[in-house]
Amino acid sequence: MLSLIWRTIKDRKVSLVAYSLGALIFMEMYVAMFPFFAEKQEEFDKLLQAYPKEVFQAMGMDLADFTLSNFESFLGVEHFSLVWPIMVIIFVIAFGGAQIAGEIEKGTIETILAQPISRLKIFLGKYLAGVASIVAFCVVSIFAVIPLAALHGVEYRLENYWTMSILGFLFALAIFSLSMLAASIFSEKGKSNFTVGGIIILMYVINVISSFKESLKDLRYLSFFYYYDYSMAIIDNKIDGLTIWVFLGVSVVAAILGALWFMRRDIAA
Amino acid sequence: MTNIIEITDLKKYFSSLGTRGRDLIKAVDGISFQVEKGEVFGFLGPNGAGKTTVIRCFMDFIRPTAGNIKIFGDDAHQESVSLNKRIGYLPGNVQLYDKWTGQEHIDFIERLKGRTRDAKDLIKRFDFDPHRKFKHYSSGNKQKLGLILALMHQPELIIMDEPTLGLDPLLQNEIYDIFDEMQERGHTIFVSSHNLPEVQRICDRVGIIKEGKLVGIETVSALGEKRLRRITARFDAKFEKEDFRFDGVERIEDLSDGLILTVRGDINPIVKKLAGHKLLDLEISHATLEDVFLEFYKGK
Repeated sequence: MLSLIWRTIKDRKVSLVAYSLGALIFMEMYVAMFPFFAEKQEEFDKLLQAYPKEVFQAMGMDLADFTLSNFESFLGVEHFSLVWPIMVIIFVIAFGGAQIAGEIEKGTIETILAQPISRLKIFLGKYLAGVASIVAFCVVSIFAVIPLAALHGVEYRLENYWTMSILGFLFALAIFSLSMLAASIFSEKGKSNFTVGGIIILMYVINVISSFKESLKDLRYLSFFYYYDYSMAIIDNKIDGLTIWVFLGVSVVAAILGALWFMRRDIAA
Repeated sequence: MTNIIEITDLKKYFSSLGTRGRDLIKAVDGISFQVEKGEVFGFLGPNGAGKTTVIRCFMDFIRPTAGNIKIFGDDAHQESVSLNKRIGYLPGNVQLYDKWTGQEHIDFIERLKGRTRDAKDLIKRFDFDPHRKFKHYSSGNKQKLGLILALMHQPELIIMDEPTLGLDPLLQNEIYDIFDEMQERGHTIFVSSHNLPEVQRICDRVGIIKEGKLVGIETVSALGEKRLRRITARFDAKFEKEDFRFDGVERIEDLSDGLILTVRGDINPIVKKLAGHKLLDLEISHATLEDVFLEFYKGK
């Protein structure tokens, strides 16, 4: 199974490096920009206060978090609110879809299925390769702050980045597990990716709508974006217990269902 | 003889959404046969007859609707992992990883199935360059790589779907020689094909599948020798085609100055009839497997 894990990671190394590099460039941009924003803190605060609070609500942001008094608040709103989740969502959906569904579509799955390795091990090998890639992406994209902050003389609180990396990992893991489930059900990468992508967009919309309408408030529990509380992680250095349970629970259930489906289904490339 | 493959009443139905609701497609509809140790068994049929579906059931890629498959006496589904150690498989249309080189494919399979020295021999024998990426190989070279991966562990049972597809005649003969050598060493070979001369060249027995049903199993020699003959008669005078239309004459084809008759069974009545005509030329030969094949499809 180790050969399968290693081979899967090797096959996705270009996309892993590309996404990690992209996240690194964004991080460099924000670290380099921060001293300028910090200098103009009062002017920016006035400017932001002039915006209707609904603008921030629609983007899933809390205006109260947006202060330039520390780097973590700035990074939270600028990077972890939208840019980082979009990158990780695209990365894990593409990774998951390229596995079983992608291999069935290309016909390469028959080569693996004809070897003395069980379908459960094939699924686990590909799943663990995805988990390892998520860890690598989180480490590079979040802990890049250490050398970059030192380079630009920006102060940071390391423990907050540990917490953010755990939240980011759990968020990515839950979406990746859904992607592996979809990839086990479908025989085409496109169908798998569009299904999971559609679910994630729907979750985002639910989260925004539930923040506007009081009567729909409880719908937010259906959205990953409600549990993905980046400001609590990066600013307050905390993760809600429910967040951990929901992301881990979804990951475990989706992975088990995906494995069972893959073991039982007909595979005709 | 020991049965290496035993199929009993195998059925595989697929449901598909048609214009009038769900349709049930009977891809394989109750076939039974055995393949004995050391034999080369050909599985014949046109596209869509169910050949690949049967092979996918052997390999446990798809699960039968009913019936069972035993390979080396073990259930093909329950024991698929251990059986795969003893089976070499070549799919119909070899699809491997575009970005991997031939050598990377070989190394990967060796890590899953164990190291072997035979890969190097096969590379040399097929004159194959293992250092190029799969996407840069010609279709013939892709097929060579598929064959190397299937054969490099000297499997006791080789299951192949169209093994010589895309290969030049010289290489086809090399494959046939490898099959002969493996058969001599007691390996069993199951080949699905619609290349009739190939089946005639390499197989001991053939099973003919039509619309998911097995319409016949014969030894190749029995098919060629006993059942059908081709009689080509060229006449020096006028003749009536209808005079030759009687029992046993399966097919009559026209020539400018004669007829080609495909005859089942006793040829004496035809010879007697021909004796009443002035002939320019007469040739009686055993029917090719293709004639037999067409016969099965026309008659059953």
